[in-house]
Amino acid sequence: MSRPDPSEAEQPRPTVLVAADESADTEAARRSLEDLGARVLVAASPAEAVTTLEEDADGGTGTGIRLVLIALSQNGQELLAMIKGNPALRWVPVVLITPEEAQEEVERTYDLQANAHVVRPDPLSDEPDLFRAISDFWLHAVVVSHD
Amino acid sequence: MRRTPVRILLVEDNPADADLTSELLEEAPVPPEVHVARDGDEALSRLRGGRVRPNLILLDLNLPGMDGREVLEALKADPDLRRIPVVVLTTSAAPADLAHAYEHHASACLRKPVRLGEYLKLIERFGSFWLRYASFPGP
Repeated sequence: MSRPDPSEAEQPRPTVLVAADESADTEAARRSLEDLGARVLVAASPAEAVTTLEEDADGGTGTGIRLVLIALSQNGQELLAMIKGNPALRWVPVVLITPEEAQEEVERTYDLQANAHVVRPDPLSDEPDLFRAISDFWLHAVVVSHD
Repeated sequence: MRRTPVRILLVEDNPADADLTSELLEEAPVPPEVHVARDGDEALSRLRGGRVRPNLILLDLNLPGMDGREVLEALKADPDLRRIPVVVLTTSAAPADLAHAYEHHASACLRKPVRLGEYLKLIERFGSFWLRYASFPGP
């Protein structure tokens, strides 16, 4: 997997919070994103993810975490709702990865203000380009309100 | 990975910028179907009239008449349109513009660079995620 753009090498490492409850998913995401230059925090449940976000919060104006990647097999939408319903956290981009492209689920995800929805490759580790795309766009193109 | 073209409504008043963005998007492995609206009124009229139903809206903030901020507010207040992801393109460095966009549920904000090479890279990065991996709400 290629390394980050040298022009961005001097910038602080962007932080991603990966919420996943399958160890293989967690490791696939962690390994891929770290190879791409990100700092990766992990959480195995919605409660743990929210605690991590709150601990990382920066004075209530946003957080140092640039992206939350939710790949939980259960309660992913619950975590999404918790983040987007929290005034101190709702600015953090959230990408929800779910196993199927069930239209109702995609629509519910956007109703809950997810920044984007992705259908989960199976296994997650089979699609390293997904993490490169996530990194390229969400960590190196998007500007957030506390930049 | 997506193998069908994404339908994009590009809301951009500057014809040269609209052409450039469309041309750069054409370079994607699966080029999107790009529709262009020249201002906010045209965009909302076409969306509400059902003449275009995009998967995603790429919205310039600085538009004549109803500006991009107002267009975003109108989109997200419309029960029929509010789920469509909106990616904001802006030359503004004002934190208030970014805060307004996210407050009104823009999916993402991108800052337009001045240099062509940087804009090319920005559009590539946009395409690498949204044209290949993102899922979209139905019509």
